[in-house]
Amino acid sequence: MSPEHGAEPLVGWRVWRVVGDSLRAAVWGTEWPPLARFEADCLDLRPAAHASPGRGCDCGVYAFKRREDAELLAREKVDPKDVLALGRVSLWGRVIETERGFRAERAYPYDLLLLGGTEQLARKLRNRYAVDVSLGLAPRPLHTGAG
Amino acid sequence: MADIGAPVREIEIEPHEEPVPTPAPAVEPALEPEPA
Repeated sequence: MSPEHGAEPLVGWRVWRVVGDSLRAAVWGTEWPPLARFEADCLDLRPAAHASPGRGCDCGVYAFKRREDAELLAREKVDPKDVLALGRVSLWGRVIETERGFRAERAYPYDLLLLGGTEQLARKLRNRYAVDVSLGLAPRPLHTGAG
Repeated sequence: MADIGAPVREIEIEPHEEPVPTPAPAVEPALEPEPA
């Protein structure tokens, strides 16, 4: 697979957990720094250190092509005490496109929809990350009850 | 790990300008006009 070349960042969909006034990856909990690109780093040392995203690895910054897939992940990950952010993310550097998404080397949020937060928190995120933040309803959990 | 399916292609993207906002410059407070 020889890489194609492009000059425009790709745009995908992601979900973050909002902790304080910071964005954290919904799956791994890694903090996304404001006003700085987020760079992928591979933590798997078995095949020896390699640049991320690796072809034979699962590393990289993940994003979906479709908003619906990111919303589904938000509903899977939702906890009543969590505030989540759903949004588009710019992707650049080396990017591996997959059937339903991307694994990228570099990323930064493009815009955010705060799910279950307040206008005050939206304003804080807007000021810290310098992106558009709007307010949405808290996602409905996929799994409810004790079973 | 989110299920995003199998790889389709690899792209090397070098934007002319990175899509990372730069901090807004600090705004100097306007000087009070001197009393006449």
